[in-house]
Amino acid sequence: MNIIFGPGALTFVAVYLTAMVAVGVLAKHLRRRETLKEFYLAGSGLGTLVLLLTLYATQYSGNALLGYPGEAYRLGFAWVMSVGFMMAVVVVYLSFAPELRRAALNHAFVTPGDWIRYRFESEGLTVAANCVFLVAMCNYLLAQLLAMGHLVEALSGGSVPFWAGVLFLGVVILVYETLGGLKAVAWTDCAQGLLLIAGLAGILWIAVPESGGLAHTSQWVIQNQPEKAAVPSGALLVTWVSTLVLVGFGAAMYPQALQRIYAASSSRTLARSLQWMVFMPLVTMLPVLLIGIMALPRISGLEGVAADQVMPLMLGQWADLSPLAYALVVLLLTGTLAAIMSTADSVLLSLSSIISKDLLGRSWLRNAGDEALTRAGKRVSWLLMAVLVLIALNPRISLWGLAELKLELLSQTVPLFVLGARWSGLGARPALAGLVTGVVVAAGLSLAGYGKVAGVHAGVIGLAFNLVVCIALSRPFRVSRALE
Amino acid sequence: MNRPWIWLIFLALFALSVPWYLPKSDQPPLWLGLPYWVVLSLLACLAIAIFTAWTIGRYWPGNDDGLP
Repeated sequence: MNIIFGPGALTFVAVYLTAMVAVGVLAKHLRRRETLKEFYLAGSGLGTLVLLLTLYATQYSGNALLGYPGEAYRLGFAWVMSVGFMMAVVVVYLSFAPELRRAALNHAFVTPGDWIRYRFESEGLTVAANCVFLVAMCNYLLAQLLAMGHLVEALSGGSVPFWAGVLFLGVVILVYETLGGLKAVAWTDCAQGLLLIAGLAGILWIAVPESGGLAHTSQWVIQNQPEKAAVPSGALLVTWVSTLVLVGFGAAMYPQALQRIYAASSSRTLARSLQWMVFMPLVTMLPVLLIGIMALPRISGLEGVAADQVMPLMLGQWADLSPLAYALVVLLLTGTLAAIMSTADSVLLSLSSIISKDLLGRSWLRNAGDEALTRAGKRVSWLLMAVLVLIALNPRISLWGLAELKLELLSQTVPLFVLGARWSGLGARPALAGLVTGVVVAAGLSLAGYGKVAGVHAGVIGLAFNLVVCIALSRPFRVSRALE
Repeated sequence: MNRPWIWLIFLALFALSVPWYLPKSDQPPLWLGLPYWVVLSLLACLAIAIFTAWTIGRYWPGNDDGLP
């Protein structure tokens, strides 16, 4: 990265981080009781705007800002598929969120596992699903920590080493999270979401005229790299559809997003938030696509993983244009750091709730009250973060490959929520058999190096097997005991 | 949300967002400064967003056991 933050920019970042901790202190001060619902779901009191921004900041991670411009650079205009697949996530919510929220409210759910235990009445299925959530989300959190360290190291010109960046920001997240729970995380997400939107809008406002306008850039791509502007065909179309399915269903299963469905203050609040959320890909993924496309005439020869440097390289060029452009670049890069932190804090809180309530609360702490479980959850957060930071700091261990398994694994829990909410005939045994089959197929193909087969993602193939097993082993009109 | 026609419309709109129905071309004409098929895909996405917002406003169950 060829942009290094000066004293003014570093002061801006320091003020932002201090404000995050202050929010944690305020949220702790305003907390009425030390219960699981109060800590992990903000007492189910999130209003429309806060819920919208926390859903937004959680769904759009650092990968969307650092990785996706590189994808646009590699694929060309076909990366417009990213707008569709982020919208698909909201559409998938429509298929089960109303039922999930009603059940959550009436039966005091805290974790995604609570729905599975209630709907399927099976401890085995709940444990299996929680294992999938834990593996997928630990890798996701680890990826955020690595991205955080690399970004801080680059922005400080190496004066803050990678390990110090991971450690310092990890502690900042832990402090405001264990002080304020979801309330603090949601409020900090608001600031992080707004930073991101403002940074992207500002950069486009500067960059589009500077590059000679969209038509000029598109014309250059058509003349010099026509394959990146051509109407997609064949395998690319298959991958487009496969990506719509994988991200649409997989990202809808993020445990931290499911818990925000529980945390809405009312059904109407959740509905209004989703009504706005579905438009967010147009204001986020479209600018990211255009940044990747505008890099094509300016930066040549980036192949494979090197294309992930597109965003930093472009921002470095734009920062030199004027003091205003530099300020907007600082805003966007701070927004990118915020996007990584907002995803990391939400994932950590969700993991902590699953371990403390679903695992410890069902074994060693079986008879513990809410206060003891909440305390245990905070300790789990610190312990989990310590372990993952140690892994992130050890250069001999690379889990990037496993991080790619995240959506492939998460999408295997789709039948438990989408079919579970819609079809009373799906029982625990078929659902468990489907989940195991889907995970074995998706993970097996991915680990064997077949991330895609004929353009179709391993996770989508796994989900197809999963659904076939679920339906084949179910009796169509079987009614669950809970209904009887 | 239990109406099948809602999901058929979603399916149709997502199908329109993927440019499988357009003729192959290495030199696509530009609309609004972008290749025309990109604009068509974005229009389909905008239609998905508007239809989603309308569907939620019209059919989201308002009252708060959640079992099928």
